[in-house]
Amino acid sequence: MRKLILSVLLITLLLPGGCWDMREINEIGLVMAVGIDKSSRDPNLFWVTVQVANPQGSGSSGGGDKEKNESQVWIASAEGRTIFDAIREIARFSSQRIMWAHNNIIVVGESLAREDITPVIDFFTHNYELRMKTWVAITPLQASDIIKSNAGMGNIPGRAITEVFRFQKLTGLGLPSDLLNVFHDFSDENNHILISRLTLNQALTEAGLANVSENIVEQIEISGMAVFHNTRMLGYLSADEARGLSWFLGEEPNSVISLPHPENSVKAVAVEMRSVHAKIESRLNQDMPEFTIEISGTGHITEEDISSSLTMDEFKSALEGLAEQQIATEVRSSVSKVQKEFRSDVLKFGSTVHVQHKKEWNQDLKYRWAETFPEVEVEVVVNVSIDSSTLNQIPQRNYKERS
Amino acid sequence: MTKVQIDRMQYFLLIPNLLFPKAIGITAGVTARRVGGDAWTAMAIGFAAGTLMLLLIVFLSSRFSKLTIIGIVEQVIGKWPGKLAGLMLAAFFSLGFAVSANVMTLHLKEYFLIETPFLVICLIYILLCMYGVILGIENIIRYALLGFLGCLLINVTMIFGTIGDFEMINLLPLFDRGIVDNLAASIYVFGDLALAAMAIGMIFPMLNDNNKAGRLTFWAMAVSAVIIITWPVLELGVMGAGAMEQYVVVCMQQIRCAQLTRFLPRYELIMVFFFTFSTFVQSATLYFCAMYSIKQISGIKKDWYIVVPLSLVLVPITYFMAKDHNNYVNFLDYPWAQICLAVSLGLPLLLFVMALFSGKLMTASSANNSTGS
Amino acid sequence: MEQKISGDLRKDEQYLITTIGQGLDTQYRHLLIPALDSCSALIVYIKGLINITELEDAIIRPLTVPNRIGTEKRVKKITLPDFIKSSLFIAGIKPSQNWTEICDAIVSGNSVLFIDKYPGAFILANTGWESRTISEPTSEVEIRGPKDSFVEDLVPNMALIRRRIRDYGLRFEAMRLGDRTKTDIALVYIEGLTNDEILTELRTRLGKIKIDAIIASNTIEELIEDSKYSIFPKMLRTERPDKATAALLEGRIVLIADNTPFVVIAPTIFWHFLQSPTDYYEKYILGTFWRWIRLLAMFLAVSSSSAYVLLTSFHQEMLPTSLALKIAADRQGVPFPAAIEAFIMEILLEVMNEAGLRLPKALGQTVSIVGTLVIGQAAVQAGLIGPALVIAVATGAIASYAIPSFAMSNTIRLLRFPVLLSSALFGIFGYLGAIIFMTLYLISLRSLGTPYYSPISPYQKDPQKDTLLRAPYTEMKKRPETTRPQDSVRQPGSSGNNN
Repeated sequence: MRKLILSVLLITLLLPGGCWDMREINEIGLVMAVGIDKSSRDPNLFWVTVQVANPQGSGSSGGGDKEKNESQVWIASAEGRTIFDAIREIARFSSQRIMWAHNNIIVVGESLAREDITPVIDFFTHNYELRMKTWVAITPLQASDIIKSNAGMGNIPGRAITEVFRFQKLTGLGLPSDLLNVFHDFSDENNHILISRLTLNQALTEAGLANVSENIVEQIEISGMAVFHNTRMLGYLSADEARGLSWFLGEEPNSVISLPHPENSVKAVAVEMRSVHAKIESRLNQDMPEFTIEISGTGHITEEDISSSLTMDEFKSALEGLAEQQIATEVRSSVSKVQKEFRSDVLKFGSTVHVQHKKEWNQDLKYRWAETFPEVEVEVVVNVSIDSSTLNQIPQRNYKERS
Repeated sequence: MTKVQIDRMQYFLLIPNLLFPKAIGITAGVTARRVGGDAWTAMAIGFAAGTLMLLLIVFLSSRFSKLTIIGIVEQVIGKWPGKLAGLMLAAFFSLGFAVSANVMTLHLKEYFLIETPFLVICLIYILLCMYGVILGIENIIRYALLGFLGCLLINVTMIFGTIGDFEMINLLPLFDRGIVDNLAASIYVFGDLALAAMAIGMIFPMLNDNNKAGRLTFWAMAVSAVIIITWPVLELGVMGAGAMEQYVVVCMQQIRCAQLTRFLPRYELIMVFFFTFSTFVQSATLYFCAMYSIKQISGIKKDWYIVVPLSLVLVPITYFMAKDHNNYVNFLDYPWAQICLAVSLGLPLLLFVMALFSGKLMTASSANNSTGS
Repeated sequence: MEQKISGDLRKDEQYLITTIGQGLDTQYRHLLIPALDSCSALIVYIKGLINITELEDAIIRPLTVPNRIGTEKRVKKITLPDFIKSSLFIAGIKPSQNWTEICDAIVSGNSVLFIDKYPGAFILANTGWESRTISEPTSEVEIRGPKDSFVEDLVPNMALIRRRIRDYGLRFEAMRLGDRTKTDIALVYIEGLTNDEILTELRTRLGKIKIDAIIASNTIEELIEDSKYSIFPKMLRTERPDKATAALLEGRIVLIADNTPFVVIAPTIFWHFLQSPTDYYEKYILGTFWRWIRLLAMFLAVSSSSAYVLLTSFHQEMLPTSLALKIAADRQGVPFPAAIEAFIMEILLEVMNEAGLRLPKALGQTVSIVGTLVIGQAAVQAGLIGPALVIAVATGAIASYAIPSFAMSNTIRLLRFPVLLSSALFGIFGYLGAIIFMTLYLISLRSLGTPYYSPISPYQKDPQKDTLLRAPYTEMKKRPETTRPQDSVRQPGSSGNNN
């Protein structure tokens, strides 16, 4: 009986006060993408643009007929002294409460990134709603332009970008940068940040065949990467240069390289690289570290643009040599660009030395790494084995030409 | 009280439950702030040392097989020192309870129930633990199996969710800060181990069969060490020491980094779901130990008479300890870890030496059998 | 009642009339017995409770027709009881001098024979009343396995068990409970197998019962339960003799009460409510699978609507984005918060459930149509409730029917409400708090002294083979330790020889 009275008392006490954290799903606006720029009016202010999904646009099951033109997303911008301020500003006129949990991408304008990226990283790692696997990107344009534009085939641009990022692995043109990686490199004592670069491209997309000309819309694409030193952005690596890095920094890049045909260097052969593994070895040569980047992978011949009379073995071994050469060149040029132009260790060389030569690093190298890094020797060793020609037993033949 | 019986399996499962909840998140964070990437080795060292200490307590307890640690103090040193030790332990367990309860409340406050008043969260959690204590230690410990399964499930899901982002390079080099720093940082593990050790000192007499208890304890510690060290290892490997230092509740941050396939991008909820069971066992056991210490020194028969005032005391302690979570973590940093080290190493060693010199160590079991029960 | 049987037929008849009355069904039949020199006799019985043909052919006819024994009585001086015993063609004849016993015998359906000048009476067991024949079980339908079920009568019920267990140790301990109903109770156990402590405990608890009426077996169940205020059923009720038999062979005790087609099995642990005889009639892999499905169903039944509230009102981050948008779109313009919506739906569901049980069969269909179409579809279409909620509530309801025990199924359905309330107040914390509270409570319960949650917690190794798993028979060599049977071996060693 005593228990009963106690529990009834408790419930009556809690009932009127309860439900503090309750918010209905139809009352919240799910942010799909967010862009952060410096305000054009006052450089001290942040200009925040959010793309909020409009559930009514994205299709309800019970609603019956709905207007076709209703937008899938709702875009709003506001400025503020801090990012948080700006977002509160948006809350003043948005009918729904902003929720970050489903955010897909954070786009940072170049002008802000060149000044200092700390506020962005801090705000988004500080926010419990945001998950760490959100993509982060830098754009040379205004971030708000990216947020406003269309992407891919999805209904909601923010979600479509996620897919673009996810399939970036297929092209290998760059390293996907999510908040986790960025935050890791930001807070690490040795590493520096690399973030994907997003631009708009006037790609032809035929969204509807009826009026093709009107459907040439600007599409968001990933191209290259932004290199940071500490908290500031220094510049960009182009898409091809980014691939040079992804050969040894990426997680099993799966990219296609075009090689000159061994018999006719004008025509090309496409080789798809799979299970690429890389290892960075460091040696100390009188206090000066030297690095060897060992890359190994298997190639699959996926396209031959000209028929040939080579045997498969000859063809493969010729291509192996060419592929090794090309990958090595790509890596070398990217590494040297990072070393000489940006002088920022985004290559994990510092960490490698730290792990492999702990004593020397902690005593000495650590303190002069900024000066040492641009000078270190890098050797690239590539080992490609082409072990599949995808369906074909012999290289493409054309007996008419031969006879 | 003599009716309460704990079997070996339950005892075995209780130990991981007593260690797991706080160690994986809060202790890992505290240690990382001290030694960065060496957090996992420091914690491993702490576990190794802690196992020895735990074995010492088990050895003492099995010598005086029907006495709690307070009883042992009374028998070896004297009645009044025993009362004093009991009082100290009651305070220790009460603080320990607050520390353990705040692990849960902080998880909720920081990641789930942002707007719910902290006091309400504390109140409800303490009431839940109080209910457990009223039902008795036997039932709390029966819950340990669920808690243990929960621990395993979080570990499995966490590993699956984060293994893709795991980078070995973050864990290396081994002993970057040197062995000395590692040893110094390993004391933070004692913040957890001491609670477990003292709780075992209180509960050990209820074990129905303490034959080879040492071996059992050792294996329980080994299992706990494995499931706990997994966390700092993966936390470091995924987030890196730099990011890990930033947060109060590191395990939650780890879970924020995890992604169980694209379709289930978040699983804080799953984590808390599995995690709560073991946290509850830890908190409720400590609560019980605090109550039991008071009961032993005061001789009050009815649990109710102790539990109710104790709850009234624990609510403000818990509330003010973690109202500002920075204070909470600072408290864990200093002086809590040091207190724990002192209590968990000092008390058993003192008892061991005293018992050895007074010769009670050898005669204890026989003397106890003739006089006891 | 102190009065002795006088032997004066008139007086005795008068006495009986004052005690048990002279109603429509109470019959007083006078006759003369030629073999005893036309001594007058009286047969008292209750119409409808005895077998009339037997009365006529086996009792009245031998008494009224002169017979050889009658002659011999005169010659050899056979005693009256011996004369009666050997003259009547009936199995149960019991002389008695005790009025209480006699009256009890009459109201329980025996005929009683009084003979003039003899200070005693003969209780003649010729009971025979209209009763239901053994039919298929209605509330515990199984596809495989025997199709018989217990009936309201004690005797055929005992026979149903005896036919399955021909062990000499099988005991039916008789007991009579209820001051006014005087219900017959049989305490069934196997001597030498069932743990004596449990048996003694049960006997003492039964002995403590002081009540006027036992209407059905669950009255006894409630009176002897461990925690009287708990919501969980702590004894298993079944109408299936195979289930009862299996329980007996596990060392548990079965209580059969007269007039109830459900027997009570004790001690029962929580997991028994998730087991069904089919588990044993099909392959062990299927049995195991079904047990896990039922566990899942139980989890769903408790938490499906709470999960909806949790996910849509508290932790939207857990939903995949497309699902979140879908639900958000469907919930546009819905007037109430999800929690209140869920409460309304759950209550409505319970109302429909209750109505469905009471309605005549012909009307049942109408109700289900009205229920699904009107309440479900129309409400969704009108935008009064979100469609996802309907799915959640329906899942919970259907899941609750997957639990084999009706009692447990009802309990679980009721438990949704506190869980829902608590989740609506504190989100995940409230949900977990409620779940911990409930499981902790479950763990602390006992059934006849056996921990309710065993063998999971406290953990016992061997019974695991038949808890959430259903091991192949070759592996289940021992009886579950949970009931501490005296004889724990099921398959004696050196197996595999000639099995």
